[in-house]
Amino acid sequence: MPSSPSAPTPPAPSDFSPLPLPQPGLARLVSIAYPPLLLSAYAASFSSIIAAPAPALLTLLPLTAALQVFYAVLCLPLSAQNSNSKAQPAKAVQRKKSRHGDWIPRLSTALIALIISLSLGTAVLAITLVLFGAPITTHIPETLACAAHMALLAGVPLVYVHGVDAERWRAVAALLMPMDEVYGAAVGVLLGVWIGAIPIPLDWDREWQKWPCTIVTGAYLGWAAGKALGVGLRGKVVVV
Amino acid sequence: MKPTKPTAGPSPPSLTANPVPDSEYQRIAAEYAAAKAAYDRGADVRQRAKDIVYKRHVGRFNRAQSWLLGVFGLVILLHAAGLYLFTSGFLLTRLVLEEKSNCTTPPGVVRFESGEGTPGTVEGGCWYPRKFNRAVVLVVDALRYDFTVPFREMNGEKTPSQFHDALTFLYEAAAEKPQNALLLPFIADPPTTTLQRLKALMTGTLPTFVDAGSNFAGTAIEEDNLIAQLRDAGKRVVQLGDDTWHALFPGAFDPVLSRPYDSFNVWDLHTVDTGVATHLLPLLHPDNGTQWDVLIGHFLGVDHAGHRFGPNHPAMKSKLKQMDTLFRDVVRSIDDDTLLIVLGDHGMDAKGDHGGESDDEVQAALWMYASQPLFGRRPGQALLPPPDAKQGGVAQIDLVPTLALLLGLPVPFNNLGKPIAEAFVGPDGLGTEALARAARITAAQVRRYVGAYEKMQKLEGQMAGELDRLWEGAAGAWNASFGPQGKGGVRLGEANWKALFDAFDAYQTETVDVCRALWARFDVGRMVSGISVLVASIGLLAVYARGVTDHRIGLSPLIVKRGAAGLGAGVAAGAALAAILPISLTHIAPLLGSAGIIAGFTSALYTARSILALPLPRSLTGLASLLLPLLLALSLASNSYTVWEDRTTLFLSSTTGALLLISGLRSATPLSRARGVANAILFTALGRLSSLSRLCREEQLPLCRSTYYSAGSSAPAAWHLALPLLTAILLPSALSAALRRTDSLHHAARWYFAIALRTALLLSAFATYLEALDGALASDSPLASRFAPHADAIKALRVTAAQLALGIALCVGGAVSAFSAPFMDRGSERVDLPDAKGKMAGYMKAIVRGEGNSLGARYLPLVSAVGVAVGVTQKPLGVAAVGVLMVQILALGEGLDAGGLRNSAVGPVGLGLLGGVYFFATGHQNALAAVQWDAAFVALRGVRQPWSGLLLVGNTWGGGVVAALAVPLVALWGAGGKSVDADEGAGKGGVGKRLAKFPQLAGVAQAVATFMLSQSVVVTGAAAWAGWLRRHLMVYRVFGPRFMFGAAGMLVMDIVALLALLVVRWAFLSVGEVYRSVATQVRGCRE
Repeated sequence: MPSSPSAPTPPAPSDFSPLPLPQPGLARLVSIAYPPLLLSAYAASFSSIIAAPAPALLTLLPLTAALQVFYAVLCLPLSAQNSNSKAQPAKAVQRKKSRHGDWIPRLSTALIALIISLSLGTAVLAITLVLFGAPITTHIPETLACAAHMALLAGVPLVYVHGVDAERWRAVAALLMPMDEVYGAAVGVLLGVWIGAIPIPLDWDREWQKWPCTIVTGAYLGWAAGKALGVGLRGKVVVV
Repeated sequence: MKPTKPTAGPSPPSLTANPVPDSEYQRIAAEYAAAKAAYDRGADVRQRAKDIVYKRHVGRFNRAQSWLLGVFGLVILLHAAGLYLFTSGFLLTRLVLEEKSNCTTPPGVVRFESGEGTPGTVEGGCWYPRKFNRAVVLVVDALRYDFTVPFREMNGEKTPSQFHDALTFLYEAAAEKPQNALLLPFIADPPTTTLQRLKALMTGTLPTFVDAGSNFAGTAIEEDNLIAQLRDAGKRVVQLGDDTWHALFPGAFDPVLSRPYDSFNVWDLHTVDTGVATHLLPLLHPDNGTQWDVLIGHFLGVDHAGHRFGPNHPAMKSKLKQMDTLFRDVVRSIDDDTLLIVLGDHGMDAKGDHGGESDDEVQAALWMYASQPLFGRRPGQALLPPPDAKQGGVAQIDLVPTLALLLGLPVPFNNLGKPIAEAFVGPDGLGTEALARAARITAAQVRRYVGAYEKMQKLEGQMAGELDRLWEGAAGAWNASFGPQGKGGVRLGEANWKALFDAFDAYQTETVDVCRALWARFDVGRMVSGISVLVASIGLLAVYARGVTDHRIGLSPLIVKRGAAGLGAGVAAGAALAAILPISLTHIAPLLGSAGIIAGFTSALYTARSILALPLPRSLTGLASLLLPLLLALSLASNSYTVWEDRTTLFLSSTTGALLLISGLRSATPLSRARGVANAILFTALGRLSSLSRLCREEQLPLCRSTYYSAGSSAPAAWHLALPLLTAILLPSALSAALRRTDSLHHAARWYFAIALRTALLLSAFATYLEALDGALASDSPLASRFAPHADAIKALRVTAAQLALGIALCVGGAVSAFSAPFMDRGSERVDLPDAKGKMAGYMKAIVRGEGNSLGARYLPLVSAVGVAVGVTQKPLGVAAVGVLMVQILALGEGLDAGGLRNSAVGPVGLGLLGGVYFFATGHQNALAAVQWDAAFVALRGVRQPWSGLLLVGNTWGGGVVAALAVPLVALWGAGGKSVDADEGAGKGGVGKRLAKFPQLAGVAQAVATFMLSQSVVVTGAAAWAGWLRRHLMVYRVFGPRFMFGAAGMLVMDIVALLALLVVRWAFLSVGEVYRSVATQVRGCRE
């Protein structure tokens, strides 16, 4: 598409740097082994989700939440904001701190990220689902549960590494963040959900087509794929 | 902001005439006056020069615009030719044979028993012993079978609906006197439109799809039919009611006694019925018995009550009760020599409409009555009428041979129906011989017809095989019993007769199946030609819309000249080829003409290749704008996505909202970021809001709940009535607010929205309320009795109010668009500047207010005027939907402006999607039954073309019309025009040497091209899938209608987009007029 000459030039992609890869050792091992683990947990509860989506998704919620918190604490660098060195990239923060002494701020940050994601994130994502055509008057528990899972998958790591810095979150929403495993996973969740909506109208009369089974499945698969791709495309920025 | 001032006003009066230099002051004053006079003389000359230069500018602008219009004219020709070619191959055709059956030449030897008269005479019976001399046929339009049978609990329905147990007489009579009365389900072949049904009921043939849309102007039937046979036999036929009969059989009815009534005014429940009843009963009186032989009455009240209110409405109950009373009266005056038939030509769906092939639409009722015992039931058949239409039904074409044989007429030549067994087996049900004789003579005529059809269409062998075998078997068995000369006196047993009947019946059934398959034959050559033309137009549009890197206007003359030359050469070559070779002119001429346009267009692009680039997306927004229409086009390959298209278009348009959000967040300043985000959210939220207004198509049930009408009717729910008033209050304020945001609320804009547009909206709301009141008159509410005497006045007032609303919106909106000054004003703002000593001081600086959005703002009145006019044709919920659409379009424009996407494909593609979203939000579906025919009467008392058609188009594709007209709006929103002529000079490679570039006009052209591109991608997809899946079970239900609605909608939107490109000149010239001095100065400097 020939771009118009009057279009404003987007801010330079170098405003933010991608997250470093997890340290070799336990962190990297967990980061690699984690997606298959979570997907297996999801696959194990898949049949009960199809049978009764809302209760089964709620049952799965604590497990996903715990795993996401665990993953964030173990594998991800703490947000630059929380370590009081806003100007410095997250990379430096991680190296300076001792490996044993910072687990309390890590855990508390992860829990705060969990709370923010589950409250604010769920609300925003549920509204987004409705805007894209989710039922308004019916299936409210299902939509909320679906949004909560999306918030856990995409939101917790994002809040954990970026904090609540407005400028960073603008870059996140504007697709200006450079790719890394956290950002890739978040974009993957949204794309997976978008693609997950596609099989719903087909007249195959399958149980799994009911709301919101395909959406949640898309979220989990998109999360795993996005996380892997985020590592592969680390540092790249989407051109709009 | 550069301070500028419009042209100078009149010069001040010069000083005194007789200057005497007696003082210093006077001398200076005189010198000043002289200098000023000289300057003014010069100014005059300069002004004239400026005027000439400005006129040249406008001339250049006009030329540039004409060339652009020419390019789009060629594109529309391509679209029309492609759609015509595809349609003519896709919609089924059937040859019409002109042979007529003759009384004296039956299709086989006929022998009557003694006492049955002579065969071959009308008195005795032409081919079969005559049973009746006269017949009364009463058609109750849309009489569904379950209207006539008692209510019983089924499908979870616990309580009877309004239509239940109102018309009870037919069932009572059939149950009490089964030998005199017969009630059966009467199954129609789709399409279930009255014209097609009447054709089938009188000719006995199967309808083909191509007739489906011709309900407006009935065309005379040229085939053999019952009416023609009646006339040939010298019978007098009197017709009362629906005037479609006269269109089908012109001159066939007794001109003195017949009483045709306008059939199309669905608002009117009573005129036709009352008219038929008043003329029917006197004619049935024995004194008048000699004046007619066959009496046809056609009642429209039930159908109109269905269209207007739906089956489950008090109006339907009272209508059916009226029919009940009438039939009781009619039966009393039927004598022994008269056969009475009451029939429905089709049914109606849950909201009272018809046209499709759902069960409710095809299941009509047939009731036959004779005052002497006539009807029997074959062994094993129940005496009571079938409790529902699932069992015991007869095909509607079966009426043709039944009626013909009972009246002693020959079976019409092209009939495919079979005799209705109950009317031939005799009251005791044991007359298998009579039944077999009737079946044999009918089947023999079917055989004769099939032979003639094969010969006519050179189809030897295609109808053979199984059919020949069945016929040989049946005829062989008959000849074995009677010999080829049909020797009399042979007595066969009951079992033999039954075997003969079964054999002829099997032959007839198989023939109907074969014909159905045969007439579902597609002309694949034409379909492929059509698709090829459409695909080529997509390629050309893609390059023209997204591949031109420089001087789009300069490229256009090349395209127009070569395209037009190619068109002429192609059509001429086509005509020549058709003359020499055995090729159809209607196929080859459009195909070669299109090929000529395509070749010319392509060669122009090749010549200008230095300014072209591959039209591939280079960004996320570009990729998304490519994917969104493509996904929609692909989704139409599946009947599920086509059925649920209202949801998929919403999904895609919300995705556009997400793109707006991302682009807005990427914007440079916090202010424009906030604007981008707010408008992206507004855009998406409004789209979702509008999607709450929906009409479910049958296939979506039970997973969908319609909101457009109240349940089980086609009347709006009571609370919907608040919406037109709310729209009248809020919409003008919203439009004004959008202009105030860009500081453009000046001149005409100050009163146009708040007063003119609001008045039109209020009048439109008033018309809606009168319509609702008119509707309430049909029910038993207390309102009804109070207002009933004023029904005519209410109707007249409603039409006047709607006309006034349309007039104010279009005339005032058009006048403001054409003549108003641009919505800009001189103003001033305070600036702090350092003075000579370096101290800051406040100065007033002259500014032009509304300059930043001068073009977009100036174009808004036209879009809003057409939007309001479209709203006049809508139901209350549709009015609100169109209002929401206009706000959503503004949100799109703001969002694109904030996100720097004005020239990207997102805007036009988003508008195309909005056209789809609002097709559904205004209560439409891609199904014939969902067409809101009553919209043709919103502002008219009767059918008056072309206005009725225009109102219907505005109702059906209203969302698309507004979206197409808004294409320049989103391309210009936030773009400040400074003059009509912004830039000149040749493009790279010498393209368009003598043409100005006009980048803003070229931008509008790009947006229009992109809009047409996205539309043609979707419609070509629909056509390709409909063609590919032509043998699919769902082709008539889903794919065919989707293509037809899409094709018609695309042509409408093409034309509107072309007009938009034309009328956008008003905005350019109006703004340019203000800046003419500036433009001249710029040009003067350059020269």
